[in-house]
Amino acid sequence: MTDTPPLLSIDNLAIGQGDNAPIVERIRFTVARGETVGLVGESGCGKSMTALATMGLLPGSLRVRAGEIRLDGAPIHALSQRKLRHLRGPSMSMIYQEPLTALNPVMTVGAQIREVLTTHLGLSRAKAHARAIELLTLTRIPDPAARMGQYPHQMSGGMRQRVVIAIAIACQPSLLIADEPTTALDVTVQAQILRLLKQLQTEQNLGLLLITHDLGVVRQVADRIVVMYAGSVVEEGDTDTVLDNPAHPYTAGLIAARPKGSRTEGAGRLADIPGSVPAPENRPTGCVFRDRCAIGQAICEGRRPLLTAHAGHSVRCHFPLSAASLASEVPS
Amino acid sequence: MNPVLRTDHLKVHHDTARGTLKAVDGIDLSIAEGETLGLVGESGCGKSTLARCIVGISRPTDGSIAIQGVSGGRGRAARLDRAQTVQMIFQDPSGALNPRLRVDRIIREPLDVNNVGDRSERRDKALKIAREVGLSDYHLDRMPHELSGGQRQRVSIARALALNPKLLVCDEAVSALDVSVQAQVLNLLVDLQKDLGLSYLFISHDLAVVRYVSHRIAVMYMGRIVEIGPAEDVWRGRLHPYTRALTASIPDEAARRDTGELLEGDVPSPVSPPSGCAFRTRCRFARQQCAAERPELRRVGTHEVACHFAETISD
Amino acid sequence: MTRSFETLRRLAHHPSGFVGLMLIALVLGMAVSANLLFPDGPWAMAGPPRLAPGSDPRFPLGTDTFGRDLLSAIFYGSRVSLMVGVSAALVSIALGILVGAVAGYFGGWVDDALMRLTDAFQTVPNFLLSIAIVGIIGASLSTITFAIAIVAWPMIARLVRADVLRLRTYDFVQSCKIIGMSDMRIIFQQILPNCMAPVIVTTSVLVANAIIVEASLAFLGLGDPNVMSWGTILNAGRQELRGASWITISPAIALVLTVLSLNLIGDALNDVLNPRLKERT
Repeated sequence: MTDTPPLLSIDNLAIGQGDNAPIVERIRFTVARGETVGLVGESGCGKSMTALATMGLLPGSLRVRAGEIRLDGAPIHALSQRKLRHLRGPSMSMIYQEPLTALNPVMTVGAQIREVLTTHLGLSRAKAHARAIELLTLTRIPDPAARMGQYPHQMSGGMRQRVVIAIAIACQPSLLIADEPTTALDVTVQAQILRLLKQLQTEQNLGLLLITHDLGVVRQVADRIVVMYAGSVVEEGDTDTVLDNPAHPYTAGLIAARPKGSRTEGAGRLADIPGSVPAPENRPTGCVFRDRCAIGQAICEGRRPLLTAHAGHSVRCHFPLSAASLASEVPS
Repeated sequence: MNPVLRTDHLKVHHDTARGTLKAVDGIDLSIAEGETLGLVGESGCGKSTLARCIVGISRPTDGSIAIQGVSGGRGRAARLDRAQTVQMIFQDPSGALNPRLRVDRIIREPLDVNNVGDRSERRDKALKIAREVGLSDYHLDRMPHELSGGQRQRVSIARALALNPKLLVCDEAVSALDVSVQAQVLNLLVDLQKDLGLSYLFISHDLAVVRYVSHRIAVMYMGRIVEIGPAEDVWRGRLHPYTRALTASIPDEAARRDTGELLEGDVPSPVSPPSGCAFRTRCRFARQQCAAERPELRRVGTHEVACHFAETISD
Repeated sequence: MTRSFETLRRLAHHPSGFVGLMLIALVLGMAVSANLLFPDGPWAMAGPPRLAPGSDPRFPLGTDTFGRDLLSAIFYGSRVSLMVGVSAALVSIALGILVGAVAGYFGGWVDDALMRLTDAFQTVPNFLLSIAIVGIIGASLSTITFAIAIVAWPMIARLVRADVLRLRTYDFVQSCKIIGMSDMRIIFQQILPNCMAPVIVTTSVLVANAIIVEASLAFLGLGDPNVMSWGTILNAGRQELRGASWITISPAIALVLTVLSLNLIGDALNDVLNPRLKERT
């Protein structure tokens, strides 16, 4: 243990709108420098809201209602928009799912990268131009100098996402949040972009918070995994430990629901999770997963389980699965 | 016996300002009764255009489509005939349902349009199908926006099944759904196939899903099929370098592994495709013959592949 | 049915919608009660000419140069304004929807031909075209309505076409083709109900515009000579602007309030039918 605080620490975070049911409740996790954390969950679990809250970009009337977000130990959840603006870019940055809408269609990509450099770092035009080419080289875009003069619509989806990444790392942030960065891309391009993110992270010692619904992406890229369900963290720990031996029935269900093998060679029915994710106002009392859980009992209704350590990772369940019980539960 | 679907030299070419875009460039395939043909390929490879041709909302520029041995004509009568045999399920379950109509009306509409039985028969039939796909009377009275994504996709499936078609074209039918709901819908599709003897053309970018549901798999690249055969033979004994690259790119869920050689670059512009083999610009095995001569699909072992060097290359 | 009732309810709870609805109800009330309150009609020379408002309790708004009761004229004028406004708006909406929907749905040469026609109408200054039409075929309520509608439909056509272009790519429209639905049924039953919101919002503006054009035509002496419209009073009062300004002031106020109320309703409808737009601002 060292005294240096983690790069990003989220503690007891709750996000909601007015007095409505909170969208995110008592979230807690950290991202260290040079570490990739995979934030996993289905739509509506609150993973994107958590990311937006960190960036200070919560939409509409959503607010941080409780808890803390700390960047390098300094609380940032209560900062003014003006102060947050100075953090976005140089300290933390974000890339989105759809690279086309993240770029300005009427500006060349070169101009868009230069703009970030001149406004945030105060570089001269010539220096910004040179640095922009450097950034495009860093993101492995072939023939970067020629690409500078192109418009986003002249590029493929993969190239656009590289430009978005170049802009995101332009001011050398220490934290990069990637919200489904490869979901809109083809698998061959996804593999390229994931490799690029991993390389950049190592080279720049970035803390990478990777938000995704794809367990395969997490398995390949993330050091640690945080599984969210219905606004709560239900399981958290080392990626391989959690995915090999999930302790929360929801994590186990997610893994089992993915098709493995071929039906023509005897792969059986998929183990689906009955029902669907409840809306924030319809979440059950006690454990949020209990109405879809196969092993739920009376206590799950009465008392909300705490995030507790279990065989090397943390799990929010009264009856965490052990490796042995899992083997009988989920046929491989 | 006639296959449920058969296409011969199917082509869809669009004239654009920059030249002819060959979206679909000579596709021959057939689907037997009760069979699922999985179709994979990257965006822009022409798989959606092919699907639109088969259901009749795009017109092929050349070649023919026969459904249960019958080639569709043009005009309203052909449209109604085709509706009875082939239907489609779309990717986005919210865009596929008219937001202003109630669910029961959405499911009943195909019956109304085709004048099946009288009013009460149609209502009964709609209710019966709704139950088959796991919806209840409660859902029938709702508007689409009141349902979850999975329920909406069930409504789409019920609507597609109303006319008892033989073939369902599923264009990314489960891609927009959450994993847990995706499994529910996949199970439903598999059950329906068993109960009703349906055939599926199952298009998806998710190779794990395609592998799971398909009896046979076809791999498309730039408007052409580059490999086709029994699912596990294509998956395990993949011969075409593109199929290899595609399967190697999937992030493995079971174990961390090195991805090794990745496919470089992007799909070339379909308006000016490379000479010879369209894949040669990204292929690390490409040789001179690949630029000179376009490889045709040919039988190698249990499946067919369009590569000059399918037998000699290895990873 | 329940949806239009719901829209009306929310409109009444919207501040500018409420004011607009109250004002337009007042004008409607005037139109309905005109022949009950003034059985002699607006043309009767009921009193001394050029009577100022307030000088005789029988004529609260005074009389014009022929001694006709101005209050009666305003009441009867509201009938003309509303009738011309609403019917011109309905005709232009029907035309605009037809052209826009067919052009947007079928695309190709149909779209090209119809949109060039639309352009042709839009390049001619609207008011001049209306004047020309009335001047050529003569002034009557129906020709005036026609002259106003024929210049107003291109706006609706463009609006509807843009929406249909967007909606025709939606999967639910594709799905209707796949189940064998006819094109006309797809357009009118499936697509159009989904693009009525902007048309409804524009309707109130169209009605207001039609009322102004009708009044302007009448002011220029191109009104239907057999009906008393607000424009007719304005025209009559024009020469007396110095001596008897009240003759022009009262119909002008009536016009302004009616047009204002319709614009208020339009704004409110915009908020009510597009709740998301309001949230963002």
